[in-house]
Amino acid sequence: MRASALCPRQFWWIFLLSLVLMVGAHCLLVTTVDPRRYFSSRNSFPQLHPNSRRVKVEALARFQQAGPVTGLILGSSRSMLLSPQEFDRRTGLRFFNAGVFSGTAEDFLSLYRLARRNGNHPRVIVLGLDPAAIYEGRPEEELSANFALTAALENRAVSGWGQAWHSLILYKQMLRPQALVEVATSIAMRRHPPEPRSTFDADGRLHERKTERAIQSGEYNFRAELELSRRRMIESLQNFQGLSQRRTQLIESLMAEAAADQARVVIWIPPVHPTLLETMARSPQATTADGLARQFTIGLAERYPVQVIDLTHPSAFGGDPDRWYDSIHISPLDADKIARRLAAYGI
Amino acid sequence: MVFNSDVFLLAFLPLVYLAFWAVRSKQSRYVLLTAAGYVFYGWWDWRFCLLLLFSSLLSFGAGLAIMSAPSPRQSRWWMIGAVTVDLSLLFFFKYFNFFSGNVRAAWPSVPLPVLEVALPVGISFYTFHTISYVVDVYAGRVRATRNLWEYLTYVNLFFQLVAGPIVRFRQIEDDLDHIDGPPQTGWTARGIAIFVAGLLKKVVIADHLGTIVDPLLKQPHLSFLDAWTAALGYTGQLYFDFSGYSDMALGLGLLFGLRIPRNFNSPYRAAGIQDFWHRWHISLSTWLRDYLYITLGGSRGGTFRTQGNLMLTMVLGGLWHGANWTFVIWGGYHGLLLIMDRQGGSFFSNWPRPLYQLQTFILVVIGWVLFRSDNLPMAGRWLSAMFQPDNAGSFAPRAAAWLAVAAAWVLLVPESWEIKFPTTLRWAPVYAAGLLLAYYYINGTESVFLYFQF
Repeated sequence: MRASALCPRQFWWIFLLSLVLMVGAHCLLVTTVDPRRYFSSRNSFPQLHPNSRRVKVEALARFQQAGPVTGLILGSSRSMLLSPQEFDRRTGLRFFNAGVFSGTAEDFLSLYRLARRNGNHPRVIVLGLDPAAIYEGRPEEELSANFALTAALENRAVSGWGQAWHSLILYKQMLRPQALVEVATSIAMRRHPPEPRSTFDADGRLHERKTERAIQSGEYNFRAELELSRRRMIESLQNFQGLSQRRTQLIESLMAEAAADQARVVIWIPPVHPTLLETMARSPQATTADGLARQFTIGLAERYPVQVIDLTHPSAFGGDPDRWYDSIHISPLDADKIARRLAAYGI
Repeated sequence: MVFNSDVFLLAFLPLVYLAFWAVRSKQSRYVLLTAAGYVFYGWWDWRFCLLLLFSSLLSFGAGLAIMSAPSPRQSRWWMIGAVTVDLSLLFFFKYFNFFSGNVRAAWPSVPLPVLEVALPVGISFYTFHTISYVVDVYAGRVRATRNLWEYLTYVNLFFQLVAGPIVRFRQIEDDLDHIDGPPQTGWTARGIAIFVAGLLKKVVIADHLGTIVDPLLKQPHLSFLDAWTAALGYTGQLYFDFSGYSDMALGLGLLFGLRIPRNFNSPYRAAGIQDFWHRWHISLSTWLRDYLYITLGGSRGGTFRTQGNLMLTMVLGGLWHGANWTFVIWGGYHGLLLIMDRQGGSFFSNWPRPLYQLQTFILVVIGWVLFRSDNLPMAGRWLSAMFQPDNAGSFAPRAAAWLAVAAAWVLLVPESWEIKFPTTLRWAPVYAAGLLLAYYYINGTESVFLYFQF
């Protein structure tokens, strides 16, 4: 067969059409398999990464159907074990745990604004302010992939066009090798999907099922996890450049909006395992980072009607750090102690 | 603006391409490409455009003045004047602080200031463009154009403005004259193919090698294996980065009906340093040969004079890359190697070719250590680690895998311009897949070309 004619215009058309078809196929695949649950939480393919932001947005919408949320727990994974029921019992309010994995200032403000947009009026906000939440860094992709949260964060109205534009940006973001690798992995695991690492109660409380089971069966190597997390924490602080101006500003916005809404804010500084505290004390970067974060957090109490409770040392709430998951992630027992401690503070 | 950015790929290039083929006249295409060049260049900093415009107008005017000068003497003065102004601008923006810093270090009492000036991107490249034009007009190798837009198009072609290849006016004069023609059969497909090949070289291989090299060089101490991994990694990174850029320029040129000269010819397969310089950054090495080495007398004045000319050319060629002693020493190192290569040419040529190629390659790699180092102490530490096998360090499989990919490519794959890319319609989806693959790696990342800093 003779080769087709060489008309530049024809060549361009076929080139562009091929490109569009391939991009379309990619988007279809990413949407169908959706290993990170960016597009929908209902999907038959295994999820590879927990998308706590989507879980919390959807759980909040369901939770408030039974009544408005009057108490909001915000924070990172270190807040996610706090039981809203513990707070309910002691305050008579209706708490929802909106903590998310690797939560940062962007998450706290967007989740608060979303709760307000949904018609809730939290009277108490319990914010676990992890110092890393105000360090310099990029927002989690999970957040930028979530239209409801980004719209709330940017104070934009939720519109069809806005949603379409957001989806377009998200699809563009997905044009990367990693997305294809994850799609292939998820398809390969479909027959034998992995057991979910964690589950959530209707009120947003996290249960680390897999870890708990490993602890109960004696398979959990606490010492190894402690050492690993300690090393990671110190490594992550090696290039510490200072607090993020953008993030501290977002926290200030949260405080100002909560004050304007007449919500009471209780900020607690999450606990750290004594081993890590010792290591941090020997590292100049860690000391600086922690000092700056602490200074900022305590300073909030001078500018806004908020209470700051420092629980850095486990003795502050009678914690048992050797039963934690690692150097910064507490056990459910200690989470309950913290809840009681915070509630006893007069919430 | 860089070729591997969203703004270039998704907006600038499609718009300029469509507009270029929508307008028909020669003059409107010149104007369009000139405007595109200024937008592309001004994306960094619009103020740089003023300097570019000044340099372009100066050389254009000088070309006309040389042509119409009543005597050769006056022509000569016009040529010298234009080249002096061009070189003065280059010196001011690129070398003044280096010069004043060294003078102050040697004689602290000399009150030379440190200037707060930003280095205009690509100044070394377009200065060489304009100098070559003025000198060629003076030498009668090219007639000065009377069409300002044609000249501005030549200097401001966005695909070779900031990192070359260093194109001479006479090399594309013919294509510029016929710029109003319809798209050439096969050029579109070939242009796309070469552009995609260059993009893949840059974003897949060069950038991955960069992620291996840069963290290694941030370490305070290098082991033997780390030092060699960094040296070989940078050797690959520089080649794939710069030859990838040159391929993209070639491909884009074809899309706009202009044939840009090739810039690389499998340099790491060279046998001998002379051969290496016939294959590496060809547009620069031939520029240095034609406008500097030959002007200095070339090989016409005996062995000693020839060696001096060679050394001076290479030292200045090194300095062209940047205001740093590492570049000067790198240039001198290559000058020395060239002299040795010329002297021992018959000896080396008796070696088995693979051995001679390996020897050349290792010498080039050592040179790249000087080239990549931020300063001389860093170069010293890096080089000494490369020759201390007792501190072996640990093997890094990922780095080894990428080095193997790069080595296989260098040894087995010809340069993009050598490949007879099929231009039939059925290959359009293949090139589209290549572009999409490249985009996978570009998306969400920021990576500039190494040669932009020069």
